[in-house]
Amino acid sequence: MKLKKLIGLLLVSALVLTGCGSSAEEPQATTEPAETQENTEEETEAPEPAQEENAEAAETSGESQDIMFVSIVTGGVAWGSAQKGFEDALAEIGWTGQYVSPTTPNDTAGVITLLDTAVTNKADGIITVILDTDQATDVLTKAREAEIPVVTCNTYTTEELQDCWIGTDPVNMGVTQAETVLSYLKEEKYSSFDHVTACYIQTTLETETQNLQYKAFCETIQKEYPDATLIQEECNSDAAVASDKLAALLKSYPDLNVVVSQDGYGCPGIANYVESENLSDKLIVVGIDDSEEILNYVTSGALDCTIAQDFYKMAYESVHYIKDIKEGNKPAFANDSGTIVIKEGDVEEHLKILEERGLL
Amino acid sequence: MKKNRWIQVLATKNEIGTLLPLVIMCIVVTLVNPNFISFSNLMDIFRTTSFYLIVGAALTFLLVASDLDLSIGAVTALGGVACMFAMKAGVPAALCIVIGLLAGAAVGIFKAWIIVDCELPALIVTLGIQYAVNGIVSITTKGMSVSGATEGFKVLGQGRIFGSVYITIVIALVIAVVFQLILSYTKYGRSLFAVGGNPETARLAGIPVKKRRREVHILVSVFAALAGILMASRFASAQTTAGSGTELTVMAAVIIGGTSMFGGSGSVVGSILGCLLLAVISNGLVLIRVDSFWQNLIFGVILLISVAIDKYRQKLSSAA
Amino acid sequence: MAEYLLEMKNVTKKFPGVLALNKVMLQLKKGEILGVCGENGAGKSTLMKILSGTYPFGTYEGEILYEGKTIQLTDVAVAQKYGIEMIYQEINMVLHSSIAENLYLGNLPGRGQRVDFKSLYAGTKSILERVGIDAKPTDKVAKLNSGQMQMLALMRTYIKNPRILVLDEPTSALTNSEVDQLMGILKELRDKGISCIYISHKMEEIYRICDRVLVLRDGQTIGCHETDQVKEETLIEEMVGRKIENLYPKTKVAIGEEVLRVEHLSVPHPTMKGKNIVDDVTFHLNRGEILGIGGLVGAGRSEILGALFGQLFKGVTKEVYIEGQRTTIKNPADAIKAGLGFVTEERKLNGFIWMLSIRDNMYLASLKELPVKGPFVDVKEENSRSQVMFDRLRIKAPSIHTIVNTLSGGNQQKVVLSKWLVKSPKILFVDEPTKGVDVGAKAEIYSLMGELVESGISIVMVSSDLPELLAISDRVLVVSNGKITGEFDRDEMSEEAVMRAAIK
Repeated sequence: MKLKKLIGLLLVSALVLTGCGSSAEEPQATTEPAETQENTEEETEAPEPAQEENAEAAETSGESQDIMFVSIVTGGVAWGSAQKGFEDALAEIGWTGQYVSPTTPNDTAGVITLLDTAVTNKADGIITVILDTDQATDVLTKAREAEIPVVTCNTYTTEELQDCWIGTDPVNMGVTQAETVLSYLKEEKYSSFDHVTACYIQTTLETETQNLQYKAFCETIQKEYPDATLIQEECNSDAAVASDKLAALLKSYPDLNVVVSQDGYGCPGIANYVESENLSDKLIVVGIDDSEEILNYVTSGALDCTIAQDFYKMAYESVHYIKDIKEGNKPAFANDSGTIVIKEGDVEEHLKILEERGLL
Repeated sequence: MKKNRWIQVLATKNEIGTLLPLVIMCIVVTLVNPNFISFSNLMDIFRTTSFYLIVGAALTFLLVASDLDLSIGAVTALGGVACMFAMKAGVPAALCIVIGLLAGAAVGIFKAWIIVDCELPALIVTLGIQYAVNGIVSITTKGMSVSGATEGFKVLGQGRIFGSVYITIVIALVIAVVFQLILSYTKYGRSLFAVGGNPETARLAGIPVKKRRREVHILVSVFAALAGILMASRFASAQTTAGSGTELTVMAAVIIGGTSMFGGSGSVVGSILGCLLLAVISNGLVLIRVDSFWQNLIFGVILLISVAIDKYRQKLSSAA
Repeated sequence: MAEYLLEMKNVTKKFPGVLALNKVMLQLKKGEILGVCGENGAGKSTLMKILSGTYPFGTYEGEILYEGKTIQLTDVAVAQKYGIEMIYQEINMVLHSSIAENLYLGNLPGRGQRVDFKSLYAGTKSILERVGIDAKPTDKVAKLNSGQMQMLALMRTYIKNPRILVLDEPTSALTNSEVDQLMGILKELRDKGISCIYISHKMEEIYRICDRVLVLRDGQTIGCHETDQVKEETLIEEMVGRKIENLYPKTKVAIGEEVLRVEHLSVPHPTMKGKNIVDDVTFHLNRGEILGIGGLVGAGRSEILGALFGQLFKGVTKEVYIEGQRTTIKNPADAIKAGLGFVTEERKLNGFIWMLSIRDNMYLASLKELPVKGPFVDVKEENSRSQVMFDRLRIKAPSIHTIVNTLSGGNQQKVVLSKWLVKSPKILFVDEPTKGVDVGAKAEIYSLMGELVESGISIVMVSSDLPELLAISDRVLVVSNGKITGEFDRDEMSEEAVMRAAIK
């Protein structure tokens, strides 16, 4: 009996420890890197992955740099692409690195803890995602003092605390979402729509960047439709919740005609509901992210289009930014990785790009 | 005088803690937005309830036997994912469902062994299992949903009987009714109350306490996996986040429905009402256009009121 | 100067549907020990809860006078200010804290927030010496046995300098020497001018220590007497409301051949390594016999029963023969299958399930034998059979669906008994059959046991109540330090003989 208890205890401790630790993956620094690409700050096309044989070592030190990417989640459409971009860039340059994230997704405190570790272990460069500037001030100051370059993805703090950031500018995202909706309103298919009642379903109501997006979205819509009814809701990254919310919203606002999804997990739930209730003619539905599942919904018509962020590019470019910083070429502080609107006709081409990047 | 007694009798009914807020909520919402009682909206509410209830019924058994499980959310995701991986690989749908259920059973068996045989506290153990199973789901799916549902499979989660009532509602009802019958009218059910009420007394009366506890643990994991499988059927793909948070919400629903956290008493009927209350609140608040920022707060307040009513009811019936 | 230190006049307390106290009168003189007796449900605890402030002023009618002046006890703190202190039947110790901290609970010496540990430990040490407890002030209370804890609880109130000490069944967990100590302390308090209210079932104690005794029945004051002027039968009659012809009804039954034989039973001691709490015990039981097992607390009597029944298993060695057949018993399920039943000592702990109804408790050991209709339990049939048992045992409760928690001790014990009667065992083990059971129910339980042996069931009964042991048993074994030190037939039995064997 005592032995059983001991074994059980060990097993459980192992479980909890792996749970409490971070989920980390060590990417292989392979041997196919090519020349580094020139980066521009404005929206560029998707960079091509390296093909050549020789490793071109970094010009500055001639030795491999070890970069730590502290993200908010591992896996998934968005950050899975980021990780791939990160690893491809490292392979290209001939550097090594580690992609880590806390076990609980979006755990800001967990991110800070991992950053502390990175700084203490004197990482050569840090790429990270900061959801809360105040929380991060301390560790970023330490990184500064240790002269570790810091680049953030899809979030930003201040010029004192970090070198630069690259991501989807939230205001631009909101504006793009709104402009896409407005363009559909002008189309033949939706010519009967004479008003706008729109719901915007995001991850949580506390996510600052999403709230900024929503604000920009509203302002843009209201320029053309000053009487538009705009509803903000959350789905907590759950497809079922998103689906149920949409169902309830339709009962609450019978004249609802626009749905914007701002959460990659909730989006399939929304698309599924539209499809099963045959609502694609009655609603303008704008999705988010570019997973295969979501792209299929665009093809089938449940989603009119989806707006993908370019996480691959964000991470890829971040590595190159760090290289630039080490070589003395400081990049611009704010860099927009852009948004890609994918309509039905664009799906095939986009799928090809994903395949090339090895994301499918 | 008669009116007072009537209120007193009603107030001591076990399920009043859930029934009262439920009825009040329905009345209030209907007055503001009659769409609430439209057939399609009711179907939506029942459908949401059904997913909670499939796990909730089994969870009721577990709570009656005086135990708990924080890993049901993770197992829900696992069931759906395991089922869909098999389907993607070309395995026939019926077998995929079995595979999903087996995945749940495997977790359940492991969990039962650690909690019942190694005698480790359920709270920590199921928490650890939750992390581990979530990890397994992440690793195997790389965080991406798993699609590949066949047409036949989709019918389970999306189809309706007579074109109107969702199949999942029927499934959940059948499960709940069977479970309630077992609980109140079979020897097995009686033994669960004994195990939860006082395990030592039950043991001395010859009831196989450990066996029962193992059984209900496995039961909960299997039905959590079932919920995940039906969820995958509904969306034609298994979501990695399926069921997240349900370990708390469904447990809250079961407890509000009158099942005691300390074992020895409970009913599936109460759990039906509890799950229904959850669905009604989240649907109703949107229907009456409560600002989404307020929804969480109001949700919490309604739950607290439910608990308070139940406490008051307990006081009344014990003083009688 | 008022005649009485304390007076409770016309105290009436109602609960929904129940009149717990009905114009109760109680008077307590300065420097006297007043006994209070009555059956369970008579209202003793309710009255004391009012006195202690647990049921605050305003929740009852009537008045309380202290030294002739009306007072309002609005809560427990106010009552304590008047020097009213309670000692309850249940142990009120914080088990993980030290003896010193428990002794001075809520009463730690020291100024402001600082604790004066020196005087704390010094004071504790002297008290421990005084009551003869061999422990250090810093030891955890859990180390002590329940008797010592009860003494500690007594001393806890003693150091608060009470004026009125209320004790509710204080000796239920005490050994004889501890009871003597308790009596000594109470007498000391009385001589100092402190008054005590002493609630007890045990007539010997009432007669031993109380100056006067008050009898309650059904929430009413029945009578108040000087103890040296009242006969025991009168008190019992007042308590029960009827004449009890025979306190210990004993049925004459023909005793048959051997039905149980136990050889070389040994049970390892739970805390002391290398020692056995039951040491190579051998005995037998005949059909239709009531075999009493006597001895001091801790001698190993309950462990004999527990080991035979499979409740204790680790390290137990035994050879058991039931009706001549060698039987292996590894757990309670085996024991039940072999025809054994076990009414344990602490019913609250493991005798019944408090949140279930009487009916559900009755069938706990007989789930397999529940009447069925198809796959479902035939509830109608189950109800009627339970009702039969309910009536047969004369359980006093609204119905078979009453939750067991609300019943009095005697009725709870009857429910526990019924659990085994439903099962109809060959052999029934009973550990302290009338513990916490009031006088009226006691006689009923003895009659029941008589009915059982009449129907062919054989009983092994452990009892610490000597009169009960001698009156009911056909044969008595005495256990001391894990061994059998005496065996007496009915004509050889006597209290002295048993006591002598018990302390060997």
